[in-house]
Amino acid sequence: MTDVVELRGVSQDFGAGPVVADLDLAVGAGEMLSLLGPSGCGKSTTLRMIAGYLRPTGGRVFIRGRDATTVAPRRRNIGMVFQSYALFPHLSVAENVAFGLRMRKIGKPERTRRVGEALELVGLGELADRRPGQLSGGQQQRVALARAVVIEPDVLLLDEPLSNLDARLRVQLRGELARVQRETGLTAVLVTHDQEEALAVSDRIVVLHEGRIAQQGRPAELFEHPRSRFVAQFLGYENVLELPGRGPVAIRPEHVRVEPAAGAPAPAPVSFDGIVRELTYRGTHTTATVTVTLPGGPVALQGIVSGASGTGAAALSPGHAARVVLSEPAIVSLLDEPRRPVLEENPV
Amino acid sequence: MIRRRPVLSLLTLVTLVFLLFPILVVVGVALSRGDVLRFPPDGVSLRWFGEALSYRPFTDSLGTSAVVAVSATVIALAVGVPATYALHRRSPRGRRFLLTVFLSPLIVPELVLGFALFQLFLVRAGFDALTALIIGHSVLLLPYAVRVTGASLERADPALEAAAAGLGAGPLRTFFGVTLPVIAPGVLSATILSLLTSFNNVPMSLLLTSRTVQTLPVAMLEYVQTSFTPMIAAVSTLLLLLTVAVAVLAERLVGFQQVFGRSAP
Repeated sequence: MTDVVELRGVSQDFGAGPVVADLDLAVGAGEMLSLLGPSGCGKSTTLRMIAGYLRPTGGRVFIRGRDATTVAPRRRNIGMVFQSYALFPHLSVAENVAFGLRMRKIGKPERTRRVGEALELVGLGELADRRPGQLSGGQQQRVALARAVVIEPDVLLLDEPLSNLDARLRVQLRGELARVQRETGLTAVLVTHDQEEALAVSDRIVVLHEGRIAQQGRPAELFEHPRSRFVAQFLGYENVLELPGRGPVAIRPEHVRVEPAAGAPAPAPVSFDGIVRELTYRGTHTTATVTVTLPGGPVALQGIVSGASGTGAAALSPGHAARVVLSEPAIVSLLDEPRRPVLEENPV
Repeated sequence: MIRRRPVLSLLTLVTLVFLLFPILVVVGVALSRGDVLRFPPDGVSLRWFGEALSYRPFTDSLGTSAVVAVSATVIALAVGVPATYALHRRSPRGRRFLLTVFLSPLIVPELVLGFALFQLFLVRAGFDALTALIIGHSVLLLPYAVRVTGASLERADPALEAAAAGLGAGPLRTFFGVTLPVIAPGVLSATILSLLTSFNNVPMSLLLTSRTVQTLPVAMLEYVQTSFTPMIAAVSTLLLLLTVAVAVLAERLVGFQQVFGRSAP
C-alpha cells in the first residue's frame, strides 16, 4: 500500500519560532487520519501545507509519490472542507457541488450525474436548487462535503468541519462523515481539537504538541496507553501523579473512588488519605477533588464519590479528610521523561 | 406614540420641518408662474420646467455631467476594486500607507486638489476640459470605491477564495466567479455613491471647466450669478427628482441583492 500523502521533515515558521517542526507523516490509501491537539499545536497549519495554501519553510510534501511542495492548490487534486463551510452564497447547492467539475471541464451530462450522486451520498438530493443561505449549518456542511468529494480528490482534507455545529448535530454529522469516507474509500485527514470526535471516526490519530508529534496510534491504542503527561491530560486523564516506586502514572477520574476516611489504612489497593477541596454534583454522580500529599509534594486528585450519590456525598465535605482509592488495572504508566524539545528551544 | 412621548415627537417634527422646508421652498418656487424667485410662488404652472429643459447651457452641461459621472465611476471602480482586493487579500508591504493614499482625496480639500489638477492638466499638459474633468472626478471617487468595496471584502469569508482555488479555479476565475459576486452589493453601492458624488460635485468641477465644457452644477452656479428667475428652482427640482430616483433604485437593487444572496426562509 503506497502512501497518498507523505510529509518529510516539514516545518513552518511564521517568524516567531516554529509552528510545525520537522514533521514526518504518512497517510495510507483509504485511511482516515486525525490530527488532534489543542489550538496552536500546528494541526491546521499542517493541513494547509498538505492543501498547498501554505508553503512549508522546510521539508517536502509528496502527494501520490509526486513532490507537490511548490504546487499551487488548484493544481493539486484535493477536496477541502472548511470550518466556515465556505459555500459560494450566490450559487445554488447543485452549482456549488458542480464548481470543481466545471473547473475540470467535465461535460454537462456527466457533471449533472455526478452532482446528483454526490448530493444523494450526503442525503441532500431534494435541496439541489436551494441557496446555501437557506440551509441549516449541518446541511451546509454536508453540501461542502459533497463539493469536496465529487471531484474524486486524492485526499479529502477536513479542517475542524464540525466545530461550528451544536453538540448533538456534531455527533450526528461525524457519523455521516465517517460513512461518506468509508463509502467513497477516500483518503482523509481530519483536523480536530475534540478527542471524542477523533476517537470516533479515525483509523489513526496523530496527537500534535507544539508542532511535533506527541504520540500516534489507533484510537484504542492511544486512549488506553497515553505515553506522556500531555497526551494523557489531553485525552481526559485528569490525574497525573508520581506513584512511589512506579514513576509517573495517569488515571481517569472515573477510576478513582473517593470515600470517607476510615480508621485503619486500607491494605491491597492503591489508596491515599487527603483533604477534600471541592465537591461537584454531576447528576448521575458526584465528583470530588482531594489533595493528597505524596513524596513529590501535594497533588490534587479527582475522583467519584462512592456509594449512592446521596449517602456518599453526605459523609464528605470540603476541608475534611477523605480516602482516595485508585483502581489498580486502570493505572497507566507514563514515560519517565516526557519529551519537550520545542519547549526548551522556545521558552514561553 | 405622540401621546406617549410628546417632547420627542415634537423634536422629530421640528427636525423634519427644518430638513424638508428648504426643499419645499425650492419645489414651490419651481412651480411658479411669475418671473421672480419668490415664495410663496405667484400662481402655479410647469412653465419654468419647460424653459429649463430647453435652455442650452443646462441641457449641454447635463450631457457633460452624465458623461463625466459615468466615465469617472467606471475608471474609479476599475482601479479601486482590484486595488482594494490586493490590499485586503494579498496584504502587500506598506498596506496601511497605500490605504491612506487611496483614501487621501477624501481628506485633501477639493479646491486644492482641483487647483493642482488644473495646473497639471489644463495649463501644463494642455488636456481638454472634458478629459481633465473625467480624470479629476476619477481621483475624487477612488476613495469611495476603495472604502465601500473594502468593507464588503472584509465581511466576506476568505475561505471562499481558498475553496475556489482548491477546487481548481485560477486567480481570475476566483475573482470574477466568486469574489466579485460576493462583494457585488458593495460594488453596486460604490457605483451609486460615485455617480451621485460626481454628479453633485462643484468645487473640483469649477476649476476644471472651460467656456464650452461645463457640468450642470457649475452651469447652475453661473446662471444664478446673472439671472434670478424660477428656472433655477426648476432645474434644482429636476436634479432632486433624479437623485431621489437613483437612491430609490439603489435601495431596491441592494435590498434585492441581499435577499438574493443570503436570505433566511
